[in-house]
Amino acid sequence: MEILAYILISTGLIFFLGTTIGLLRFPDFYSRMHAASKGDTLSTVLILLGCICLVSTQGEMNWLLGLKILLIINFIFIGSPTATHAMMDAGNKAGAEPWKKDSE
Amino acid sequence: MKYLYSFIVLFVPWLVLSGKFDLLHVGMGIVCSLLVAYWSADLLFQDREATLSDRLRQLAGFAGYTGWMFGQIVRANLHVFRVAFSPQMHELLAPRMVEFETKLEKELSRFVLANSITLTPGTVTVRVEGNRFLVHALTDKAARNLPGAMERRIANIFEKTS
Repeated sequence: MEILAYILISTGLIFFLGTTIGLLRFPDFYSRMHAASKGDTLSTVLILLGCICLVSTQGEMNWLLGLKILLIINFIFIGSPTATHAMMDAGNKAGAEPWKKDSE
Repeated sequence: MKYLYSFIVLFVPWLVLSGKFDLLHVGMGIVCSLLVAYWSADLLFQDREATLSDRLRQLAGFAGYTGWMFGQIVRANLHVFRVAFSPQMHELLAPRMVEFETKLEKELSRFVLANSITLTPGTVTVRVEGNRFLVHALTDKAARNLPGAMERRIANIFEKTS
């Protein structure tokens, strides 16, 4: 169980690395938000699933903790795309121009 | 009936979050859930016509949809990963804004569609006004697939009234 937890957490961290590099390398505001919104959701969920595996090996009331972490995952699924959406909308209203291939 | 649903919706999280199963805490939970269910059941369940079997079918459909969605999220991440590490990144990108109208009627299904678009590979919802969606797509291929299979799936779950 602990090994599974470490595998899940490391996979989450690798996806976070990809997200961060994407965030730095992408050309404009909108494509950066692409990287941020997707990578964030999956890597956070993977790390939290790893936490569930870790928690389940210790203590006797651990299934309650697992359920609470599942609740957090649920809220991240709702919250993360909504926050992205709000930022995209704000950027669009502020007049950020989408990057075009021939503009450089 | 709506009072019973509200009571269940309120009481189960109480049990999970309090984590204590002695008489005092469970009793307090029952009293509070009953009071809040009595006062605010109208806020929780707004479409009164839906029957129990309707709600269960929606729940089952939504569970299946969540599983499919998770596969999409993994694909989206691999896509971002591949683009982020490729040396010729600018060749892979062809960003554009796409506008389309959806056939979905309910607010809830539009909300699910907007969030799903954000989580699938290569597309992010920018704005929703009425039934018009403004979407930013990373590649031509992603833009062509809109709204596609997702809208049909959501319509099957939330819009059909038996």
